[in-house]
Parts: sequence; C-alpha cells; structure tokens
Amino acid sequence: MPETILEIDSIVSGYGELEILHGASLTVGSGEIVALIGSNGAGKSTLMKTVTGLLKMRSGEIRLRGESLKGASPESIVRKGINLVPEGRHVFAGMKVEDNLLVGAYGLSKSVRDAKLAETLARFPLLKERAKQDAGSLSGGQQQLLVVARALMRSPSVLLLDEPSLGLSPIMVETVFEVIGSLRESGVSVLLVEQNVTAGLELADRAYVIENGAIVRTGQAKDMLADPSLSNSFLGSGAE
Amino acid sequence: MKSPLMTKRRNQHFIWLGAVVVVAVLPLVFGDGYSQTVILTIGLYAIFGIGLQLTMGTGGILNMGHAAFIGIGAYSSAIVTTKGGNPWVGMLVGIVVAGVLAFVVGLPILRLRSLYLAIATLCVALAVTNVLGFWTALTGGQNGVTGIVPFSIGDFSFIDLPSQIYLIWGFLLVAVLIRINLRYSVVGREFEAIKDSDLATSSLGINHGARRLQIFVIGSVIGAVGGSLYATYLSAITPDLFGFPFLIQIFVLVALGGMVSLWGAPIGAIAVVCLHEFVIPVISGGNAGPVEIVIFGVILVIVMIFAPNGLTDQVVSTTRRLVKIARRRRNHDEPSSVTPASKKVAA
Amino acid sequence: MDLAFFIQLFVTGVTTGAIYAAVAMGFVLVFRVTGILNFAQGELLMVGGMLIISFREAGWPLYAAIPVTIALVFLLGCAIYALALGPAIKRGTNISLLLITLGISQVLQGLAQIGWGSAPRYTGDFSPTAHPISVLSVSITTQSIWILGGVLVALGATYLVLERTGIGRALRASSIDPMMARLSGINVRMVSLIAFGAAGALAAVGGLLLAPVIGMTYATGSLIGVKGIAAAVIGGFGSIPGAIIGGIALGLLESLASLISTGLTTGISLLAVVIVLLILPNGILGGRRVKAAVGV
Repeated sequence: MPETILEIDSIVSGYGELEILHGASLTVGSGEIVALIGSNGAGKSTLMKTVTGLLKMRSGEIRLRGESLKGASPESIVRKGINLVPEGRHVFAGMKVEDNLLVGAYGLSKSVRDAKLAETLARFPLLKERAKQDAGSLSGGQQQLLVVARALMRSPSVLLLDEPSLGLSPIMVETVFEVIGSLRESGVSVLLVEQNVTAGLELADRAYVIENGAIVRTGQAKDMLADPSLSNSFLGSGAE
Repeated sequence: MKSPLMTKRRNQHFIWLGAVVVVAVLPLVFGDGYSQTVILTIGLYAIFGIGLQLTMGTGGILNMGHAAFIGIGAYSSAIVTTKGGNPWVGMLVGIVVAGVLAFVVGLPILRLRSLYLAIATLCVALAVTNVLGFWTALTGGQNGVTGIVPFSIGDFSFIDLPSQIYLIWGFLLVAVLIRINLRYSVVGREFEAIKDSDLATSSLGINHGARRLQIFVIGSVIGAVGGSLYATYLSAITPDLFGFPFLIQIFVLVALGGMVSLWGAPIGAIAVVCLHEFVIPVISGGNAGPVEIVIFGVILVIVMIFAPNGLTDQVVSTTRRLVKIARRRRNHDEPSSVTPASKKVAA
Repeated sequence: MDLAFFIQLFVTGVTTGAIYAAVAMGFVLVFRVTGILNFAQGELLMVGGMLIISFREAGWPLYAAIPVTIALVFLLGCAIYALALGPAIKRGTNISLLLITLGISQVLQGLAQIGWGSAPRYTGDFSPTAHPISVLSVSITTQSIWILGGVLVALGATYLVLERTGIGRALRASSIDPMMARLSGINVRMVSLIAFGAAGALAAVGGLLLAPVIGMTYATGSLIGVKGIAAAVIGGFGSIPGAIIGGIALGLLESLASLISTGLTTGISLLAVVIVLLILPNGILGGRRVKAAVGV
C-alpha cells in the first residue's frame, strides 16, 4: 500500500439547495491510479469539483499530504498540487498552443516555466508541431491532450481526470490512455472518472464505486474487472 | 372564488386609496408654499420613479433613456402650449411621441443583450438631449421654453399649488394602479420568472422580447406624462433639466425605493426629495451642485453593492426571511429550506 | 475642396480617433475579463488630464508628470474594482453593476468639480512650436504627433503585455474561460483588478495627451466616455483590434460630419452606434473575427 497523498473524508456537497454528495470518502495513494466508477448523476463530477474547490463542501475534510484544504480557493488548491482536467475540452481557444501551456504554469518563475514548456513539448510531439497554432483549431483529441499537458505544466502531485476519453476517436483514446498510464512512472497520482469502465479499470490500480452520492464499494481494479455483479451494472454500459 | 392573489391585489388598492386620502389632506395641513412644493415634487418624482421601476425592475432593462423620455413629455407640453395649443393636447402629444419613440427604438433594440440595451438607450438619451439643445427653432435651444400654460378643466385652471398637487398625485394614483395591475397580471408574473436573465427568454417559451417592449413603452409613456406635469408646474424648462444628474436622481430613487416594490417609487421619491431639499444643502453649505452629485453617486454605489435589487426590496425580503425563520423556530417541524441561494436560482 | 483639405480632415480624424481607441481599449479590456461595462472609464480619462495639468502647473517636467499621472490613474482604476465592483460582483445583477459604475462616474465628476473647479483648465503643448509643422500644405500640430505616437506606444505596450507576459496570458485566459483559468491557478479577482488598472492607465494616456488640445473640465470625461463606448461597439465590443479600428473609424466619421455642422458630431457617433447595434451587433469586424481575436 503506497503512502496516502489525497484523503477525502466524508464530504457533503452539492449545487445550491441540491445536495449530491452525502458523505463520500476515498483515498489516493502516491503514484497510484484510482478509478471512480458510477452511473450518471451519482456524484462523480461533483466530487471532482469539490476537491478542487469549485464547489464549497458543507462538511467533511479533504487533505493533501495531511494538510486540510477546507475553504481554500480553486487557484490556491491548484498551486498546492491538485489539478483538475474537467469534462469537455477546456482549451483557451484563441490562444496559441504554447500560450495555453504557459497558462498552466502561471505564477511560476520564468526559468521554471520555460524549462517546463520545453519538457512538455518534447513529451507531446503532437503539440510541439502545433505550438504556434490557435488551440481552437486543434482536433478534439489534440485539444484533450493539450488540456492534460497543460495540467502537467505545474507538476501536480494529484491529477483529477473527468471523462478524458469522452467523444474522442479510438486512436486518440489510446493516446490519451497511454499518457495517463505513463503518469504512474512520473510519480503523479491520478483520480480517474471514465465512462469506458473497462478501459478505466484496466488502467487503474484501485477503484471506488459511487452511488447516490456515497461510496458503496472499493477494491483492486483487477478484482472489479473480474466481478460479474459489477460488470452487469456498469461494464455492460461501458461499450456504449 | 377569490384567489389569494386577488385579495392581495384588492388590499393593495385599499392601502393606496388610504394613501390618497392622506395626500388629499396634506395640502390643507401644510398651508405654506414651501411644504406644498415639497409634497408636489415628491409626487412628480414618484411618477418618474414608477416609469423607471417598470422598465428596470419589471422589464429588466437598464434604461438610460428615462430622463430623455421625461424630457420629451415636458417639451411636448411646452411646445404645444406656447404655440397656443391646449395643455391636454400637449400631454397627449408627449404620450404619443414618447410611446412611438420607445416602440421604434425598442423594437429592434430589445432583442439585444442587456449590455447593448444599456448602450442603446444611452444613445437615445444623448440624441434626445442633443436635439433639445440644438434644434433651436423648435425647442428654443439652450434657452429652453418659457410661458408654459398650466392644465385646466373648463374654467378651472390648475394654477395654485394645492390644485397642482391634486392633479399630480391624481396622475400618480393612475400610474400606481397601472403598475399594480401589471404586477399581478399574467404579464407581471411572467416577468417575476424571467427577470434579469437573457437566456431564460427562449427556454421558458415566453415571448420575452414582446413583453419587454410592452413594458418599455408603458414605462416611457409614464415618464412622458410625468414630464408634461413637470413642465406645466415649472412653466419654464431648459434641456439641462433632463440631463445626466437628473437621470442619476431617478436611479437613486429606484435604488433606494427598490426595483420592484410597489411602495418603492413613493418611498424613493420622499428620500430623494428630502435629500435634495434638506440634507444636501446642510452638508454642502452653498456649493450644492458637485456635492449633490457626489452624494447621489455614493448612495447609488453603496446601495447597489449591498442591495442589488434596491434598498426597500432588500429590507422587505430580509424581513420576510427573518419572519419565516422565526415562525419555523416556533414550529420546528419544518426543515430549513429557503436560503438566499435558492431564491437566486429561482429568479 | 482639394486633396490637401481632405488629408487635413483625415489627420484630424485619426488624431481624435486615437484617443477614442485608447478609451475603447480600456472598455474592452475590462469587459472581456469581468463582463462589466465601466461607465467611469471616461472619468478616468478626465482625471488623467486634470492630473497632468496640475503637475505641469506645479512645474514638473513631462518625464516625471507623465508616468506619475499614468500610475495614479492605474491605481484609481484598481481602487474602483477593489472598493466597489469586486465586493459587488458576486451578488450583483447586470443592472446593479452598471449602476455602480455610473455612480462612480458621478462621484469622480463631482469630486473633480470640487477639487479643480468648473472652469476649463488648460496646459501648453508638450513640444511647443511657433507654427504647426507643414507637410505638403497639410499642417500637423506637434501635439497631434504626441497623441498619435503616445497612443501607439500605449496600445503597443498593451499588446506586448497581453501577448508576451504571464499576467497577459492570465488576462486572456480569464476572459476566455474563467473557470478553467481558476483551475490553472489564476486568481481571477487579481486579474480583474489589473484589468481595471490597465484600463485606467490607457484612459490616463488619452487624457494627458488630450489635455493641451482642449479645455479640460470635470464633464469632459462623460462625453469622451460615450465616444469610447461607441468606438468599442463599432469594433464589436470584445476585440482589441476592433476597438482600435472602431476608434479611428469614429474619429474619421466625426471629422467628416464636422463639414456639415459641428453640432452634429455627437449625433453622428450616436447614430453610428445605433446602426451598428441594429445591423451588425457584433461590430464591423463581424462575429467570427471577434471570437478569433479574443484578447489579441
């Protein structure tokens, strides 16, 4: 069991009057890829948004390496090392690809920024070719890659990925998953929400199942893959 | 069968009738000219305020042109009566000109986003003041118009202050009734649902544009009627009267009175007139102009920061919430569910 | 009317238009980042003009007076956001936020009238010459050259900041996708504050360059503010090249209108705005260009 880096402890959260998470708890270990599985509306995105501070939690605790993130703003949580790639491809359309990447390193010193940019472009040759292009002109898959690359610019300790493969062509899905898999080696922990449950579980070390705003099950990813009861409820829908 | 809404509406009518009686007695109690001037001015400002409340509070339109529509009413009366026409005809001309202008301007403009709407009405306002200031042959240019004839019915002329007060407050009553009816009509309730949202327009299936246009025209016409009364009361007007400082005064009126509160316009009018007549002269010590501008500006800023829907509305909604909480405490079986956040979503 | 006359008209128009462009750019910058139309923008120009006049009266040389004026109005812009709009923005409606900026414009006007009086205030040209420079029988005042050069430098500097610096990228990112900007570690409030400050600085440049050309009064700002809005609307309210083109177009239009009647110039710009709003609600550059040119 790796050392716990992100600890989510019975958080309650939602939008306005609507309470969606009723005390969800999970942990992510250092260098671990953890999948979060659940049907639509179960609270996956709400959990992601609460962890990054976009939604205020009503009760509970979120700790990064033991340090509480209660009441912290999204921008400060990002700077502490938790980065969210939200659902949908949120590139800054109208800005160059390299400017998009540099925004990801906002606030870092110029030398760190430039070094990180060179490193990232070397890691993503697809983006390097298009560094001077408008991010809005990239294909969907390239945009998703850019958003992931931008999130890595700050060398986060935890990366939250919300439906990274949604709407991508099969070949791009493969590329994106390769990138996610390679994060393990670079020591980045990942919390992954993925509608393609089989693919998500194949990639992950451990998984949690969320239902109606609470975690109902947890275990090793490979055990879940093999579990017929689970495949009936989720895995079947993964092929859609 | 009486719906609670109808009862409420009837209550409103009774309350207002009571208010009218009070006003009817006021000029008899305050016999001196100055008090009467103040009472009269409050009535005028309340009419101006109701027109702006309609467009801003009910229609959700930031109407920068309201002072100009008041000016149109005033100048119509001025021009018609000084050319030998009947004052009532003057008022009618004002209503028609303001109504048609509001309609024509509003027709395409009301489709615009709220920001552009503000800009467009601003342009209309500046264009109107430009015309008033420079079309000397018709408007007398910067010198304005003098010798405006007061209203009369048969041989009776509304020339002394008490009779003018009755005239103006009579029109105020009509404006209030129009507003109450709009508020409790289907139209008014639709607006409650879609106010301050550009997106809701189509998603609720309500023809937002047509409703807003209707409100814009009614509000502007009420302004023009107020302007007509204003001009005949002053008997001499200049274009400066309808400029920016005046517009700000009406904005402050609505900010203090509240954007939707039915009592907002008279309350705001009392506040603005009292500030103008009593408070600001004391503070400024002779240099009223700029000091007044600063004070009104500061009030506008502060009220809009802390009560974006106006002070009265804020007080009313806060009180209601407190009452609700108090009741709930007594009953305590009901779970707490109403918070400002949920209201915002609903709005 | 010969060619020289028209060139003369053109030069006048472009010079006026440059000022409008600086003001319009401030409007656009603030609007892109915060969604607020800052009606006090024109008053910031007026304060810039008044300050440079006072500094020069106090005997300051230009190289001191200009940067101090710009810095002070930058701070004033920041203060407007920090004290009024920042606290209001969360609960505010479109209407309440606009009324706040309107209130601020009134406060600045009133304070200027109290502090600097009602009479127009004048200051000399920055580089006084006995006669305007004459090129091919077109005469250009040195102050016109100052205006054109100064606005060019200001707009160029803004462009460079937006394109080449971290804060510039943060400004652009916040205007495109505020949520994603926050998720990238950008403090959007700080960025909004800087946008207000930068808009103030741009207005100050316009005001200090204009001060020697006109008699500056407390009311100067409100009219120029409207012209700035007009220029921004003509340019599509959102794009910075649009703001520049809109400013120049408006200056030229007014210059032409002055042939007919000087009283007409304001009317013409208002008419232009209404026509643009009705026919081309996305400005003369059109909607797609505006989107593509976000923040550039």
